[in-house]
Amino acid sequence: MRPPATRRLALLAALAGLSLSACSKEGRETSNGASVPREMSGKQLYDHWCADCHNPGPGHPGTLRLAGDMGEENSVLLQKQMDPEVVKYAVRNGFQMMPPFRPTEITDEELARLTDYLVKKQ
Amino acid sequence: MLTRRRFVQGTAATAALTHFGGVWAVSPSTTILPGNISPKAFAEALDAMRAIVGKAYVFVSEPDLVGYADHFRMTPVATHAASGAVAPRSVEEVQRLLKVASDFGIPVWTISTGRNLGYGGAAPAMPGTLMLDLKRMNRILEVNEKHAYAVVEPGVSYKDLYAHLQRIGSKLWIDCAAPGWGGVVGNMVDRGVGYTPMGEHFLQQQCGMQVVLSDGTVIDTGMGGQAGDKAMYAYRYGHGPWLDGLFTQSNFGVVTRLSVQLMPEPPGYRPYMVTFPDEAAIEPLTEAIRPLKLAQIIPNAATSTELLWEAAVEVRKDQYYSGTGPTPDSARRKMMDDLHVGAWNFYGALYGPEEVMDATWPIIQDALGSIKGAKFYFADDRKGGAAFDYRAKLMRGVPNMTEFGVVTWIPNAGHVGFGPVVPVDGALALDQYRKVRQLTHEAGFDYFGEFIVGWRDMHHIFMPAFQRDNEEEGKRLLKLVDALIDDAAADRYGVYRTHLDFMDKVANSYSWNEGALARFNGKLKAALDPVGILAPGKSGIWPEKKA
Repeated sequence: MRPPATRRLALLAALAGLSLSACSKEGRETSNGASVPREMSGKQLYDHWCADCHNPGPGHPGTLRLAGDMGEENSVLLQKQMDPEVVKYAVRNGFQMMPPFRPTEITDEELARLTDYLVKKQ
Repeated sequence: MLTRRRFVQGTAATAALTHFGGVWAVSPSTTILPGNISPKAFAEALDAMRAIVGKAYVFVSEPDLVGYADHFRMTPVATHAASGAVAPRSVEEVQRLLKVASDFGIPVWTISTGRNLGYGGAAPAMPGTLMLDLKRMNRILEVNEKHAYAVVEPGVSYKDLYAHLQRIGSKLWIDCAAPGWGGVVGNMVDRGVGYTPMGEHFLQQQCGMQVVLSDGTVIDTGMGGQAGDKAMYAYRYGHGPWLDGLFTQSNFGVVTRLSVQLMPEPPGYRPYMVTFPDEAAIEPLTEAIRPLKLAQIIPNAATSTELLWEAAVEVRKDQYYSGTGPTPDSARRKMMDDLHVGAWNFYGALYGPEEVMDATWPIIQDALGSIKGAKFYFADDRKGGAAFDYRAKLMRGVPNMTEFGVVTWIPNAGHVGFGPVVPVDGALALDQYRKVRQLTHEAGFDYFGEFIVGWRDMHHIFMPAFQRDNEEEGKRLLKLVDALIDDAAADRYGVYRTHLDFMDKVANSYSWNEGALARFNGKLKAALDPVGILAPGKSGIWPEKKA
């Protein structure tokens, strides 16, 4: 486990709407086109990491597989009531064909925002 | 373990999820350490690394290390278990980390995005290896519109680069692997392929690398050897021996930056598809493709996809067949009828001014149309079809995840890649297809394959799906791929890249002159990484003395 002090800092940062991370998955641009880090909202995180597999409609493998395993009514994350613990578990541990996502890809703070978006749909 | 009931329930149930149920079988008390490292020395090394990257970016606990396992593993998790992971943010941090690793003799395995799931994902070859996770080095350092290139760090995914170009209004196209979460650098140095006219990534896109050697020395290859060279990202060779190939599929250095040459958006783009009902059509199809590719009449990666690969992005196996073993012919025929696809499905695209596309299309139409049962489709004919849609995106460099659908074919699936390279020859393609399919069916799996002609060769990409929670099935697939490598080698076909479990075997198949190539690689390894800390076992290359 990471040191408790780090976790407390992370929690404080999340509560304050700050990020300890300096990831640049969605970058702000400089004049020469280089990307500079920018924080992503829960929706932006969903769009970046989840949408290609989990959006509704054809061509989304997560949706296709969940329809087979869980039923059509449970196949679209944005149209289903989501348990926050399930979201966090699936992201960090993977769920069946879906691989886990490392903290270097989705930080704990980002995972909190992503989970909040998937639960509240806003 | 996350159960169906818990997923469907969708409310905050009181019962806690069992975080490691069946997923991670190595507990903290049994963490696998590198060969000769004591727990005390390992702890000291990690402390030194924490001082470099910060405590938050050294991972040694189970929840954080799950992502460094091979999610599609066919062997027990311990076979490729990492001892920990460290995630630097800069080249300077990489240098300092390698110094610590050298001092303590700790082997490190580099990953960029770690999403190459069919070949081992983010896991190391040797258990106990420390992961050097470069995902946090995710800056796009430069986009040059005039000369059509970008300079990126290893953590940049195709999706990152595409989104960035869109945001800044660039008119440059990327070329991406089929799953868009892959890394630009990782795929390049693993010699992966894409689907636009720049689909041979290393051949057509790479122009200048920055590499950190195991002793911490940073080199810029090609023209980068001259400080501030104006042609650094325009001309790849520089002066003297060209080194860049040494850092692909190897463990001679850590690539921390490269330039990727991009394609200017053409004035016109017309993706097309041609279906063929007969399984034997791969022979005349391949014969038709060869001259068109050699002459660049078909400018992009010419891809012939077998029925099940085509179908699996739109339907599941259980919708057509509920039994075990390979999908029977009756179900295959129904799929072809329902989805309006063939036993083989060819994808290509036209690029350029309308006049150019108009001029080349009749040539392609004549060549492919002469094959029995050929049916031609353009975008308007396939509206709403996921398969055509994602291929049309790939052939213009738009990242997406649709092809990951090949693992939706059966529940809880994983897959593994087997990729022999074949000359562009119809008889050889048919022979390869039939042999691989026969062995696959005998092993009880479905054949999932496609042939990609980048230019002068043909990659036969075979990606069978298996059930991750079925240990016997994993063992059976391991045995199948093992047999396929032997069979290909007996027919004088080499595999172009492979899963962690087969790196030694494939390396050994390149055995001419009593393994002269492997011995040469060993000499390079000893010279460039004398302590033997970089990625032991990558591509079957091991240090003389295992760290």
